[in-house]
Amino acid sequence: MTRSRIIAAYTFVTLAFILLFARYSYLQLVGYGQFLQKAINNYSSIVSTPPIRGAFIDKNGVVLANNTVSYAVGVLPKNLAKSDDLFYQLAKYTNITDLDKLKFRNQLKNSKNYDLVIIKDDLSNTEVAKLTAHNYEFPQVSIFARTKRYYPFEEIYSHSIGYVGRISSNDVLSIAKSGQTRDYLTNDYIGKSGLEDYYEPILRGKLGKKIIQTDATGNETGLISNTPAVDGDTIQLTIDNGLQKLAMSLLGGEKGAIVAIDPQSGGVLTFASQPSFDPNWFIDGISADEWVGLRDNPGKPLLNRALQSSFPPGSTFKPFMGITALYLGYRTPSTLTLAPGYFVIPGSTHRFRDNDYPRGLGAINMQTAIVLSSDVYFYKLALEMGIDSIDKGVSLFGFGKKTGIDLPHEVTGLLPTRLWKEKRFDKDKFQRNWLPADSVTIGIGQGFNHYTPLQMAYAVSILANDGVAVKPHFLDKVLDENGTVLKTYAIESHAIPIKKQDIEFVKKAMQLVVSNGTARGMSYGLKYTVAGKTGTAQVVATTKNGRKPKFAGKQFKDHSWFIAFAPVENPKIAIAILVENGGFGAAKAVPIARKLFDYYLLGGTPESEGNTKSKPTIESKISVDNNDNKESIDYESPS
Amino acid sequence: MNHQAKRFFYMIVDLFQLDKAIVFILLALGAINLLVQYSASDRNIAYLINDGIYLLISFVVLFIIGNLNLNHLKSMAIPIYILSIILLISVIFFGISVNGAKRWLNIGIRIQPSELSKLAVPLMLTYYFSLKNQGITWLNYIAAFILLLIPFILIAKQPDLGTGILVLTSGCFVLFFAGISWRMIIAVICLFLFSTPIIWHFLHDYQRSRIFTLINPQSDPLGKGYHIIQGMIAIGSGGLWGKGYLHGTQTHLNFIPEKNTDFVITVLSEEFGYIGVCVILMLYIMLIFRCLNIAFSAEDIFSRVLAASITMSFMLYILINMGMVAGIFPVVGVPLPLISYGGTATIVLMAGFGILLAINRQNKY
Repeated sequence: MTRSRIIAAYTFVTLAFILLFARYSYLQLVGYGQFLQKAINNYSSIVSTPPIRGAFIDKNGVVLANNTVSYAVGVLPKNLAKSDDLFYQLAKYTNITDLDKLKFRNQLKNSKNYDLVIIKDDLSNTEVAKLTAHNYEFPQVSIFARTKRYYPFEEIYSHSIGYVGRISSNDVLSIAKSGQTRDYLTNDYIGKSGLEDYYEPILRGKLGKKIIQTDATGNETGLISNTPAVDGDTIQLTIDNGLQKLAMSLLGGEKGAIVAIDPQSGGVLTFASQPSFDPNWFIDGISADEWVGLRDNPGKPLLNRALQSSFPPGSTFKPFMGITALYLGYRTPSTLTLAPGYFVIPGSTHRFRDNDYPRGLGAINMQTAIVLSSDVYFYKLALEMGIDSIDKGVSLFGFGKKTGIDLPHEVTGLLPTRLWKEKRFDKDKFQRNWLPADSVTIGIGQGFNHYTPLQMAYAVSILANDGVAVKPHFLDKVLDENGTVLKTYAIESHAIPIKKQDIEFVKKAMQLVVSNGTARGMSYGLKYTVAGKTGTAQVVATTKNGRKPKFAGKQFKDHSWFIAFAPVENPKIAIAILVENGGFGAAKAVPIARKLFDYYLLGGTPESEGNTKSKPTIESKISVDNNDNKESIDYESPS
Repeated sequence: MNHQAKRFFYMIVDLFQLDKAIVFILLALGAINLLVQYSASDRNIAYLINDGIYLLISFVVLFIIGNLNLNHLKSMAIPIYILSIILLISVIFFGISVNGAKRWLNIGIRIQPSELSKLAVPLMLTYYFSLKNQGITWLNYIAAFILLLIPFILIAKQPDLGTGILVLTSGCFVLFFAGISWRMIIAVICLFLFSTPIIWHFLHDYQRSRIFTLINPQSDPLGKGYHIIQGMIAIGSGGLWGKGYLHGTQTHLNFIPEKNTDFVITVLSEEFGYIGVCVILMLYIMLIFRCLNIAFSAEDIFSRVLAASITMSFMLYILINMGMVAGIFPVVGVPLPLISYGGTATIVLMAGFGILLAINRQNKY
């Protein structure tokens, strides 16, 4: 054997080992950090555990929304082979509807390996028993308990507390837009409406993060770290559950809204809107039938009438007109004004009639005008003040502005200005100017203005509170799971620049409305003092061709308003009641107020029916032959 | 003392005449084998016992062959070669198919005949050349090449290209050490390079894709690149000191495919780190240098060529296996010698070292 072969052999061996040493040094010494991270990524998976959502309780601790345990059958996406086969297998023991399948597929689209995707929720005990017993047939599925939102009072709070629902891609987008981190699972719940939406950050809590070790096939083999979930906090509301239930039942089959506020604290005692719906339907996605039923219901149960539906205030606007006149010096309490049976704007021929007093009331002062609800008095006053002055005074009571209540999507209503009209009718040379007739109709709360029941309640609460405006709110306290108070709501208030004696004067007039005037139907056997004002919002003024319509159907009856507070000396409750198509203002709304006040102030069940049955009332039923108002405003459409 | 007892006594004495360095290193590698296999099998005692039995058998084979006379070896060359060919042909008819490859025979226990060829071929070729020690003609080379090509084709057809190439190279080492001229070597290399496109044409798709994957493992991280990537992660994440015995995450969470056999070095690398890799490489280096030393100090041509060829083949197995797992060669089914699980392979390897021991013993006396 030649020497070259021996050298070649040694060279080969040496080079081979140098190569191996070099490669392993590179991988293990240079690449260590990088490969270690890859190894860690290989075996660790994050499993998130949802926190328990905070509850809602009323001012007395009654639970209004909390969580129940619901049994569900679900599957980890990584274990799922063919969903149809699985549905078929499971169908032997539980009924899987097309809706369930649809929801399942939607969830599956954006779920990670360790998010259990729910196949069917709310299993009955029998279903749980059957599925558990037969679990060996479909070992990939798990039957598990989860917490689920539950609204024990069903439709009572759907327009205040609202509801939660499964997080949607839109929710994810808006969370991303707001710059927060997405702390939700794919099948997680998020506040969708009302207080559930507004107070999401308090109620939500924080996701727990469990990092588990998994093998190559994804099976869990151990626990690496565990950060437990932080449960959400409970919110105590200013709501009085008894009063709310009573309000909802008093509205009964009517369409309408009731907002009651504690004028001194601004706490919302009642926030009712009828018809309503069961928020429990929305939690896991509403079925198509239920949805169509709600959407096509002529009563529009999904519409939040207290917050988002605005109507002309009718005669309930008169006290605010009066106080504006006193504030700006257009009238004194003793000024007498002649109130004939109709009013004509100087230089025109159109007669603004007073249907209740066609023969006129003679010379009257402001108190009489409010108590009797004289239209002509306020026509005159409005024309005299003009829209600018009206705006200056009534806007102090929050008309045309959001109250800033802690609910999402509040509407502003409309307190018109010259500028508003210019923009609104910018193509119509004649209409775009503010006309004297526009002011005249606003004087009695008709025409271009409309407000939400919440705004009306807020306005009357400012009056009740002697000119101190307290921002209305639902939240009273934030509690932890032991009931310890974490945070108490800080009242936001400001005094409006109106003299106390002017307010006292108007309050006195409103008290007389209840004792002697249009709302005297509620005064029989009254054990406390009440001040209030009735009102009627016209549904239809005139048709487009200017002719008075002949409508018989209920949907064309006027809306009935009532605003009030009690007791007058030390107001504990201020209220605004709207009954759609309730007809004459006092007929429907006033008796409701009496029952609510009795309940709230006398601390018990309302007095029996007979006592509060309405006696004949005088109501300022107005019919304005308003040729200017060619646009018929659809008061019912939510903004 | 009767006759048989006397023979047994001398046999025991003979054992101590074997090269102590080689025996010691082999024992060390055997111990490492048990250690690593225990971890790689996820503490499977039954598996470990099986492995232990194979090791024991292989050591017995080592001692028996180590004590054989060289002439015995020469006389066994042809029968062993013929036996290996018969076994390879039997595989075609009676072989067990696993994953589409027919590589195993069941003769009570499962054996892999191609492993036997790794030793039978160099033994046969060396024996053939030792007969022609006065001037080897090019005709002899062609005859030797045919002897080499028969088992290669049979193995490559199983298909098991990896083992086939190893058998082929073991024969090439014999040709090299038997003195084939450098001109001839260069000619063959050139021929190989020119024929690469043709060979490529005959490769199976899975073999081609392995070569592709080697070039860029990330191109298919969940498919063909998976083995290489996971192997490299296991090795790299071991770092200097390793994650600790039985604490390899890649190993025990099943990210490593074939961790008992072809990818066994990843287990060792992950759990014992660079230190562990250095220990095993040092053992291999010492073993190989000792073996080459024995080879080149042997007096007769048969011993020199055979010992050198066996050693160089051994070297090649290490290089290809460790290189493949670390991502520098394509994934071919080559076990890491003496560490990977596999009865036939280990026994044949030990038989090879037995031959080296026998050659060394012969040199001494």
